[in-house]
Amino acid sequence: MNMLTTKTMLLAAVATLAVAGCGKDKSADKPATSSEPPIAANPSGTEAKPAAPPTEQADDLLAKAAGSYEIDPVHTQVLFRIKHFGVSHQYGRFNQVTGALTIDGATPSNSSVELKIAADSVFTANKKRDTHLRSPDFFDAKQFPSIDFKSSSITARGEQTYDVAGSLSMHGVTKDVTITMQHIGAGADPYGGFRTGFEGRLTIKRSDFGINFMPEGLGDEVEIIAAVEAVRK
Amino acid sequence: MFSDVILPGVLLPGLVAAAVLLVGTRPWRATHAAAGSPVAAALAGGFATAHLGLTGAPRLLPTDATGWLPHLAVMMLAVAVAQPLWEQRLWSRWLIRTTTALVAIYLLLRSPVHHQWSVTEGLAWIIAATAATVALWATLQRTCDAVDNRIALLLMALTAATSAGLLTLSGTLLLGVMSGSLAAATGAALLLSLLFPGALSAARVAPVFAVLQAGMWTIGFLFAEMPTTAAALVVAAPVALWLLELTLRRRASEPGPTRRLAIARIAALLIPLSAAAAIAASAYFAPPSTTDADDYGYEYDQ
Repeated sequence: MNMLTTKTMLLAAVATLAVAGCGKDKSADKPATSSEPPIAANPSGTEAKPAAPPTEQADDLLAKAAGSYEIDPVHTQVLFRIKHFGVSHQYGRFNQVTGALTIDGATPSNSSVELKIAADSVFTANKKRDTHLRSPDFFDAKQFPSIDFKSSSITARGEQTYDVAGSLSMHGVTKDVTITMQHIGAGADPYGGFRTGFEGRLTIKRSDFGINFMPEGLGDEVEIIAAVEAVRK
Repeated sequence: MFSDVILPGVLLPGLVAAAVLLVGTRPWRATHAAAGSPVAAALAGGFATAHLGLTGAPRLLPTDATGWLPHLAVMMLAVAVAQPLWEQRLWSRWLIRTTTALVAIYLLLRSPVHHQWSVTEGLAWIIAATAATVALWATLQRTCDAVDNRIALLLMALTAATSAGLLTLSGTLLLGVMSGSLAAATGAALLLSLLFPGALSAARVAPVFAVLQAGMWTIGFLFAEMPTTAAALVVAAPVALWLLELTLRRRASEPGPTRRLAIARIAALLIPLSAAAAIAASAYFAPPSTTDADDYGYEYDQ
């Protein structure tokens, strides 16, 4: 009798948990009400891919984000990676990025981006290597203290994705480049402000910018990842 | 490291310098006169080879200071070749030294002069670096005129080698190796002058050597991490040699033993330079502090 009661209770508990679980799944299908875009679920758990809220189309997100912004340096990262001896990728970042965004929600081509990176903020978690990277052998940060990007045209490429063409100035050389930027999201922050964020990738050749030293030790191609968060003025 | 740095930066420049010297002087010929321009050409050629091997083909109008160095090598070779035309008169000697050093330093500091520094700051750095360059040039020329060619070449080879260490420890391996190329080129000239005494003359080496070496010191101090005290010692080195030359000139009537005078000259230049390299080494190898962070507050792992 006791055994039967215990089994019945266990079955009841399992059934309750199952119902509760189904209810949770159903609630997840409902449109998100928060202004923050949710992060898409990822079965593998290895990579979190940002996604726009299901009810919001790409243009809606841009329209929602319209306005003038200032880059938030604490939540903006410019990362780079470069081949080392042809056997591995070495990663680094710049710790000081400032700039501004202007978003025209109706006409993306009227939007603009300006980024200013302090060349001496290069950081690879090794002081001697960073000192060498700042030296005249590479970034020459005392002679060229700033790495600048200024957009010249922006065209919609696909869903929440834009081709941002502009000029990249580094090491005293200015080149035209195009960065494919994904609009990650836009929404109110807990501090009463309004934020938006983009992420883009770009591959350049360092030799195009006159940074040629140690061509066999360090690859010529440098992949740059810019993850930008900005606060509406 | 070998194919990226040592081969293009030291070995090839030494070989190119030796080839230029052999072709330019043909020292095996029985009747030959000591020639000055081939040694200057060997230094400029070796240096330009190093720059080409380390950083690729130079731009016609470089944007950075280091990019101007091969241009300066060519410019100073022309000045060295024309030396008999301008060195006879005191005023033309100082005019050429001052104007070419001024042009060289202006080209090296062009970018910050136009884009970063105030007019006063730019003028101050240009005047200071030009004065240091002229001081090194004039002192080396006086020494080259006063001593045996082999001593003059040894003095320059040791100066370039010490500067190579100083610049590398100041955070710029590229300039360190390029200074090493000057040491390799002067070393090749020294070797040939030992093998064929009288075949080479160091009379026209000073313009090329002084402007390139002083130019690299300037870049090392202003754009790399050469400590200020080390830079002060670098400036003091030619001044010490200058003072020694003045003293020796006054005592010209009673010169001392040649070997002792040669050692004194080398010591006058190398003691301050070695001290500068030691200071740079001390800064480079200093253990990181427990609160080691970059200028933006990001801390390094210890």
